[in-house]
Amino acid sequence: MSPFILLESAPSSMLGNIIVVSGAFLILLVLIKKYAWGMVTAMLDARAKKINDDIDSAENARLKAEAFATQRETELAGSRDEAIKIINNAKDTAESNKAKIVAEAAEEARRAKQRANEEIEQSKKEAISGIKGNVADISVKIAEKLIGETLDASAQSELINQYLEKLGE
Amino acid sequence: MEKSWSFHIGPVYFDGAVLVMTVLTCAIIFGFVFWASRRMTLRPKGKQNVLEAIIDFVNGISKDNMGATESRRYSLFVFVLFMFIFVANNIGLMTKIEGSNELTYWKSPTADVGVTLALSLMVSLVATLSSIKRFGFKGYIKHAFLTPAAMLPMNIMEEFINFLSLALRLFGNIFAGEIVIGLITRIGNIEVYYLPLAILLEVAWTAFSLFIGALQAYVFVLLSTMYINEKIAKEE
Repeated sequence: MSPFILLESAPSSMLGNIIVVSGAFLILLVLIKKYAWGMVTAMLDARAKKINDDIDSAENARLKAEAFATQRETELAGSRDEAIKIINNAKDTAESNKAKIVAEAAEEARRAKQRANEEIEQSKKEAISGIKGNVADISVKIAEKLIGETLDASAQSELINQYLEKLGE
Repeated sequence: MEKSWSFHIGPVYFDGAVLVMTVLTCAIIFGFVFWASRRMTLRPKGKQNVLEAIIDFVNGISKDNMGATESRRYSLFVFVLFMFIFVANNIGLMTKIEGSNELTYWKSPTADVGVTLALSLMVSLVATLSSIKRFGFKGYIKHAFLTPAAMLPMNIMEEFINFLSLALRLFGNIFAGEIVIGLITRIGNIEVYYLPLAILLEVAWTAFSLFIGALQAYVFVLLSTMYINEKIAKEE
């Protein structure tokens, strides 16, 4: 007698099927939980965490970069101001130097001119006094020649001086 | 009606084809999940992608119905439920092995009403036990049947209707698919020149059955999560 019988002639196998499927399902559940599920969920959680962290760190990096950019900008503006200040300073200094140099030069020129004038004046005086002496001597000699060497030189020099003075005016 | 070999342990009779196919289904699922979950990497590739896509899909169903926090606690159950029904629905489409006396050795486990009732029963049990765990036994009775009290008969009926409709919908769809596959093979058996027609029809029907099988797995899981959520949701 075979243990296998046709379903049609056998009592319903519904209860048996329920037991089989429930048992198989539970065993499958336990097996998957034991051998696979932990790894899968751990991986999914790890990925979710990583994505979260990445988003956070990207956000942080963005904020940092923005802060950096604004810092750079202010620094740049500062250095621009500084450059303008330096240029202005240099301009002022140059301006004042220029004025000073011009004034000094003018003074120097004035002094040189003055000195030259004084020297000219001095030379003129010397020349005139030299000429005076010479003219007196020459006049006396001429007079002596003319009058015939009778003229007393010292007595005549008074007369000649008077004449010369008239000449000089 | 297809026949199946059967044996009994004491007073309980077992359907051999269902037993074999159920074990095969479980083996396929476990094999796939075990294989796909080896050497998992943070950057998914290949088989890991497939597994994660399925898990994501199933989690998406339960998340829509239960919310993110509740669905996490049931994700393993729902995932195994989906995989089991999906594989069980489609495994019967692969081939047809018939012995003498029209004995069937190969069929979808879910084409047997006992199997779908077992699955539906498990969903009901999970829902009821979750509710009892959450609200206590009195709380469960009040929550499930007496809100409002006048609806008690309706609520009792609803319990059975949910349980039965869940099982019978799945059974009906898959069983009908199997029957039609059987009929189409008969066409091929009539005369040899009917064979191309039978093969063409078989291809079309198998494609349709794959679609139905996947859809029914989705519907079963969708409704299961809804029923569970109904039992555990706090009153607003």
